[in-house]
Formats: sequence, C-alpha cells, structure tokens
Amino acid sequence: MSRALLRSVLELRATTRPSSVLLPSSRTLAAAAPATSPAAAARFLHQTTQQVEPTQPQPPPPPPPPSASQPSTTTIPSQTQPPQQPIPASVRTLLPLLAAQPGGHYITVYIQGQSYLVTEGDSVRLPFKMPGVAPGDVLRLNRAVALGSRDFTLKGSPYVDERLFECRAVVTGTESEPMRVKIKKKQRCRKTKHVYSKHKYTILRISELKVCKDVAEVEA
Amino acid sequence: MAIKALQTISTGRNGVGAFILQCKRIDIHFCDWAGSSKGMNGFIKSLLPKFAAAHPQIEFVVSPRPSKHPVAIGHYINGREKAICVRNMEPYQILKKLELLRDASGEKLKVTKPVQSINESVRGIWSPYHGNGMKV
Amino acid sequence: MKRLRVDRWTGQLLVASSSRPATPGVAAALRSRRCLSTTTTTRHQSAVAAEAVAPIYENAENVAPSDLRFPPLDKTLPANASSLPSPLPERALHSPKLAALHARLTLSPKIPLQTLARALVDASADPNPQFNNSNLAFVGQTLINYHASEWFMMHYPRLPMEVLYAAMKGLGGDPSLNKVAMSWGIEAAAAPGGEVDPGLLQFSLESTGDSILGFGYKRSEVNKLQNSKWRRGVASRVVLDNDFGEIVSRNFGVKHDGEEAEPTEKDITSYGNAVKRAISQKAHANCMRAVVGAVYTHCGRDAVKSFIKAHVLSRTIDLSKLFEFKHPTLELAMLCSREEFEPPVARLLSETGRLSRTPVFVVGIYSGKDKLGEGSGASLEQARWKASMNALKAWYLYSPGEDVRMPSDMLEEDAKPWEPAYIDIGEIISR
Repeated sequence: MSRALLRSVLELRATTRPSSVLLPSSRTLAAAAPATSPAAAARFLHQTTQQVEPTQPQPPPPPPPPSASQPSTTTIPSQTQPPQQPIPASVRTLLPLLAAQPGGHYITVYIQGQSYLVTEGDSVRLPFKMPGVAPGDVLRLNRAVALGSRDFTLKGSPYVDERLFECRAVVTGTESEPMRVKIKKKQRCRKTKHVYSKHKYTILRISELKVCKDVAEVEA
Repeated sequence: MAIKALQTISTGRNGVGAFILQCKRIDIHFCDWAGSSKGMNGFIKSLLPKFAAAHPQIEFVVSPRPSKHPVAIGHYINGREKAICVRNMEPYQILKKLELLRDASGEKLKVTKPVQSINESVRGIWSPYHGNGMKV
Repeated sequence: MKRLRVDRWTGQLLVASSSRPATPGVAAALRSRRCLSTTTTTRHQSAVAAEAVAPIYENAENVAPSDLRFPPLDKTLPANASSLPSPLPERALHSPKLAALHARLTLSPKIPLQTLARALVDASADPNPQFNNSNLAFVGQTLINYHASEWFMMHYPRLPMEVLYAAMKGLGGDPSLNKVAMSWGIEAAAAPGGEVDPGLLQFSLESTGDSILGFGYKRSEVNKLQNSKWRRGVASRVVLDNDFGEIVSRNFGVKHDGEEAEPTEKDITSYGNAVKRAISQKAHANCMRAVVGAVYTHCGRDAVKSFIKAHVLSRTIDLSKLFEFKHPTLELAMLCSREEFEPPVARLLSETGRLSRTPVFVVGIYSGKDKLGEGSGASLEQARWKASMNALKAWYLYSPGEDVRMPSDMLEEDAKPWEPAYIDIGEIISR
C-alpha cells in the first residue's frame, strides 16, 4: 500500500515541476535504481561482478515533501562511477540540434551486456529475470551506447555521458516462454530423454526518454 | 469540405503514463480435510494476510473446495485466467506461485522479440530509390 | 473545448444541497436524505471519506438455523435490496472489488469508496442523479475534452477543424475511453440492481438512460441531417454540435455517425448486436469520465490534470492517418498561392520498371528550389498525388515542439508569464 501511495505522490509531483528541474544530479544515481522502493536492492546492471549491499534494512523514508527536489530516487553512492569527464565541444554545439529534431529520438541502452535500440513507449523483454524488482517499479537506465534522432547520432565511447539524457523504464511484469522440450536421443539406443526448460523474463516499458537541451545547464 | 477526417481509436500502452497491474483477482481454493491442502491451509493462516495487505490492487477470494486439490487462480485485465494447482506445496512455495501470478500479464505464453514497438522508425527506412546507388 | 462554466462545477454534485463538499467536515453535515416511498429504506449519498459507516441491515440473530450454516456472503445486504435500483452507498465500504479498483488506479485516499461506487452506476441503471454517475461524468467529460483539445491545439496548431474533431474523438470519445475503462479492469454486472456488488459497473442494456453529457444545441433540422443527408458545415458544427462535432440528439449514444443503428440481421453476432455494444461502450466510457470527475471533485485541478495526462493523453494516436484528401494537388496549389510560395511543380526523382508489371515512380513536389513533399506510386499520377498529400500533411502537422506550454499551465501558482502561442490562419478552403 505504501508503495502504491508513494507512486501516486510521485505521479502528482512529476507534473508540477518544470521539466528542466527534472534533470537530477547524476552523481547520486546508481544505474537502474528502483525508484519507488528505496529499501530494495539497487543493482549495477552493466557489471557482472556481484554487488555487495548493506544487509541491514534501511528505515522507510519519510513521505516526500511536495517541494522536495529529489524524492524519487535512491541516493546510493556509486562506486563504479567514472570521474566526470568534461563534455566535448562538438557535443556542446551539436546536442541542441539533436534534441530539437522532430520525430522523436532513439536510444541504444545497454543492459547486462546487451544493447537494445528503443524509443519512448517500446517494451523490452530482457533475457533474464531481474531480481528484486516488482511490477510498477521505475528504473533509470543510464548506460547508453548511442543516442540519436533522424539526422544525428551521438555515439558513446564506450557509453554516452549519462548527464546528457534521461531514460526511465517501468517494470511491467515477468513473462515466461512456452515450455521448451529438447529431445536427446543417442544412436542405436531406443531411449529418448526429454529435457524441459522454461525461462522467465522481465519486461520493461520505456516510459520516458528526454534529451538534454542545454549542456551548460548540466555542467552547472 | 476539402479535407475529410477518418476515425481511429487511440491505443494505450501500459506503463506509459500510468501503470496498471494486470492481475486483478486471485482466487484461492483449499480443502479443510485433505492432506494436499496442508501447505495451503498454513499459507492462508500465516502468509496470505501479509501478502494481501501488500497488494491492495488485487482482489483475493478465499473459498473452500472440499475434496479437491488446492488451486490458485489469477484473473487478468485482458479477461484471461491462469490457474496453478498447489497440491502438497509448502507455504513459501505457494507464495512464490502467487508472486508468479501477480507478475504475469495474463497473455498467452509466446516467444517474443526483445524489443516491441509501435512507433515509426526514427531514422527512416532505407530506400533503394534514393542516394547515388551502387556502380556494378 | 468551449464554454467552460467554472462557477457551476462540481460543488453540488456530491451532496445535493451543499456548496463546498470537498472538505470532509463540512460535507458530513450536509448529507442529503431521500426516502423511497415504496420501501422503508432510506438511502443517502455522502461525500465524506467515512471510515466506518455501520452496516445497518441484516442482523445475523434472526436468520433461520439452516441459514447459519451457510451465512449470506454479503452481510451488509439489506432485505429489500433488490427493490433499489442501485446498491446502497454504505455497501461500498465492504466491496473488495471497489477497494482493489481504488488501489489499482492509485487514487488518493481523499476519494472515498462511496464516490467511486457512484461512478460505477450508469444513468440507465439508476435514473436518480444523486445516485448515478451522470453529474460526475459530465464534469469528467468536460475536463478530458478541455485538456485533449488544449493538447492538440498547442502541439498541432495547423490541424484542420474536421481532423481536430476526429482526433478529439479518437482520444476522448466513447470507443477510446471504453478501452481505458477496460484497461482498468472494470467489470460489468449482468444486470443492474440493489443487490449486486458495488464494485461492478451497472448499466441497463434495455434503456439508454436520460443523462445529458456534453455541451451543444439540439438542431431543429436533425431529422433532415440524418435522413436526407443535408449538408452540415464546419462553422455550424463548431457553434451547435458537441465537443466532437457530432449532432446532439437524445439518443446519441446508440448511433454511429449520424445514422440510427437498427439491429439488422448482419449486426447480430454471438457478442450481441451493434446497439448493445454501443450501449456498453458508452456506459464504460461514462464510468471512466465519472472517475475523472471524482478525482477533480475531491483532489482538485492539479490532480485531475496529471490523472488525465497519465490515462488519456499518454495514449497514442497517429494523426497522419486521419486525413482524407479529395483533390490534393489542387489544394497544394492553393496553399502555395495563399502563402505566396512559388507554384508547386512535380518532378520525377527516380523510377524503376516503367514497362514492367510493377513499376515504381518516386515523385517530388517542388516549390522553386524547396522540396515540399515526396511520394512513390505505381503510376506517375498516383505518385504525384501521394507526394502532394505528404506535402499537405507536412504543412498541417507542423508542431512547435514537445515542450510547448499549455494554457492550463498558467493556473499553477508560480507560473511564468504567458508567451503567446502560435495560431494558424486556418485550413485551405477550396472553391
């Protein structure tokens, strides 16, 4: 219930703020942190090594005040964060052009070793079941290989600077595939072995994709 | 009356804007007497109140079904339902099954492509009639 | 879209004789009571988020011993419930379906379950406007249409009026809102009555109800328009007709596009006939509108704006599929002369298989050195038409950008001063 309430509060809050304030200071954001469940585990999806988390349960956060600037995301200091690189001059001049193009933008997000070219509103079936998330959780995707519009593409080396865009995804549920049956049969032997498998996949929906319009504002 | 209009209906995508949990009702059937319902009876006593309180979006219906195996049936917004027989299961196994029912979308299981989109291609579709062509 | 009468909004909707029901303390004192002459039951509508309204009916002591073994599932069901047209408001507190719907929509706790239950009673089920959703649906419809039209006009200032009407209907019309209600998991009762669960949508398939939804004037020539195919200009549609440019008539829910939908042999399928489907669609849509009206009544302007944005405006509608041109080349020529461009010229850009069975021609329309549009087709004429249509669509679907400000943004407290929005001089009118 508290999760649902918090969600409704967040929905209300999102519209009352101007969009420029929505860009959070990225230092406080871990990759794909579940926004509505602060106690749930935040995972770094771009790395394969296990992320060790504090085991003691965190107390539930106080209800966010209406004018709080950042109640929506967990403030977990990210150990793997690369030092802040200066934004190159070419990006500084061309990013406003990219952001102003009509017809929407696409982003190639990088999740657990795979990249997905998505636009706003697409649904992504991840090839694994993401632990620690429930339907309705909002993830912030901050690893992107490329970001583009009709005529421009910003390629990352290897990733696009996460301050330049804002991409969020909603976990819509967990799906599974139809039961797979692999029949194993050796020659000259009448025995057949049936191996069954049925994997589970987490489904995401890209709910928001915003490209930063003003680079100077980000650096400030 | 130069331009006439054709009528279409807008399409909604769950999660864009508002998110609605697709599981709307879970029916739980048990039997007081039978041994296969032992775990289910323990689940109803111990775990179900907490699970139901954590999911106010789902309507829980608990009803006895004498001399039958215990069943959990999820009803979904698209009108389909998903039934899981939980005979001889431990309470925590049943909790896992209920979480499965909660997370499912109710669609028929099928192999899907990783990215599904109804948006137009952002960069456009390649055309053989444009550009300089290739010298053979 | 037009004629927003703010002074007449929602104050009197929830409580019959109150002026400000939104604060619970005031509203509790202002309950209206109404006696049904045929029964001894008194039912009253309350606007307060009451935590415990005691179930006053059906004490378990005086039931027969055989009934004790199988007690009634719904303990709050009064003995004469079936004589009421809709469930009593008190029973809303005991309906799991209703509580689940409330939580599923993440509605604010300020909205009581009684109001949500009322939003689920259609005017065809209960003709009493104090107990059905027609008032709330009216408010909801006004708000949805206001925000939808504002969104279209700000984002696509050059949309022709006919297309704007079609887009409005595609987003906020009955078929679309029916889908929204379906996606909320609202289930319909088989038949309305006082004994059904308050969490089910109640409407009658036999009658269409007597609720008036939407502004508009009833035309005196409505029969001629429907039967004799009289011409109906856009200007008169703006002034006289409802928010979707449709003729206002008493039974407008039961017909499509100005034609009376009689149940013919062809229409009757295993899912019922077209009339019944339309009634069901309208009931679901009105229920959704009533929920919007309830959000506005209890939570206010900002909440309802974000609610509409989340549930209605976030839906996708492809505006380029709404256009139907009759003479696209002629129209494009008139557009160029009006805007003082050079007259449009069609040029063949590339072609293949001219003498084959499947030729493809790619034609571009140029005005001077600027390319206005491009299209491909199986003949030169077809390609030229498609190119003109694309050029016209590109003109009409001009958008100043995603983050354009809306007039309703000015209602916020610390809003920046309004910058005038782009207003187009209008569509091209052919002679």
